[in-house]
Amino acid sequence: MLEYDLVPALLEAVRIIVEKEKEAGKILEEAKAQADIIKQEAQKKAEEAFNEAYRQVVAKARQKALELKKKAKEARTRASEAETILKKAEEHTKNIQNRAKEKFDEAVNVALSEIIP
Amino acid sequence: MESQVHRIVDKIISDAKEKAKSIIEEAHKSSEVMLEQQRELARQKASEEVSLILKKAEEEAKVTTITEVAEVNRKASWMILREKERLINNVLDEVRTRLNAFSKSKKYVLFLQRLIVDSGTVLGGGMLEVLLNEKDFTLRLNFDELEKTITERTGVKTQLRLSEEKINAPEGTVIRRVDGRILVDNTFEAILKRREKHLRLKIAKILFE
Repeated sequence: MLEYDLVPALLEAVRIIVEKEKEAGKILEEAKAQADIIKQEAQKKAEEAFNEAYRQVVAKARQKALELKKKAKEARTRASEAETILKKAEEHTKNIQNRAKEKFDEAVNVALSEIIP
Repeated sequence: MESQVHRIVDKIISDAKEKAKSIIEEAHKSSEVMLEQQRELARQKASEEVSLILKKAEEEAKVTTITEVAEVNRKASWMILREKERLINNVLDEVRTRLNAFSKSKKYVLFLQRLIVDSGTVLGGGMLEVLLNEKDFTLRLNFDELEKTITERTGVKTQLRLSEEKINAPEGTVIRRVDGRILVDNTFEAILKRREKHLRLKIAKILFE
C-alpha cells in the first residue's frame, strides 16, 4: 500500500525538478545572450576608445608644443641676451668714437697727402 | 517529501540566477579590460607622433631663439658699421674743408700747375684746353713753362689754351683736347671720388685698427 502511494509522488517530484532544471537552463541561456550583447557593444566601442585615447594624447602634446614655442618667443633669457649684445655694441661704438677722435687729424692728413703729395 | 522537492527546486533556480549574474559581471569586466587595452594601445601608438610633435616644437623654439639673437647681432653690427661710416665721412668732409682752404693758399698755384702738367702728360700733349673755375681763372699761371714741361715729357709739341668755359668745381682743373674728345678731370672732387674707395680703407685702418 505504501509503495503504491509513493510512486505518483516521486514522479511528480521528478517532473517538478526537470521543469525547474529547464527554467534554470533558460536563465543561463539568457545570461549568456546578454553577455554576448555586452561584449559585442564593447567591440563596437573599441575603435572609438582607441581614437579618443589617441586624440587626447596627441592634443596634450600639441598643447605642450604650443607652450614650448610661446615660451621661446617670450624667453626672458633671450631678452637679456639681446640687451647684453646691444649694450656691448654701444660700448664698442663709444670706444670707436673715442679712438676716432684721437686719430682724426692723422687720418685727415694721410688722406690729404694722397691728394696733395 | 514535498518540502524536500521545494528545497531542491529553489537551489536549482538560485544557483542558476547566481551563475547568470556572474556571467554578466564577467562580460562587463572583460569588456572594460578590452577597452582599456585599446586605450593603452592608442597611447603607445600616439607616443610616436607625440615625440615628433615635441621634437619639432623644440627645434622651432630653438630656431626662434637663434634667429632672434642673430637678428640682434645683425642690428648691433649695423649700428657699429653705421658709426664707422659716419666717422669716415667726417674725415672726408674735413679733407674737403682743408682742400678748400688749401685752394686759397699760395702753394695752390704751384699745385694747380702740377695738375695741369700731369693731366696734359696723360693726354699725350698737343693742343689742349685748360678749364678752371671762376676764382682760379684770374690766377697767373705760367703756361709757357707748363707747355714746355709737357712737351718734354710727352715728346709732342704742346700748346695750352685757357678755356672761356668755367668749371663748377671749387678747386682743381679739367684739361681736354681741343677737339673735346678726351679730357682729364683733376678737380679735387673728382680726384677724391676716384680715390674714395682706397681712401676709405686707409682712413678706416687709421681710425679703427
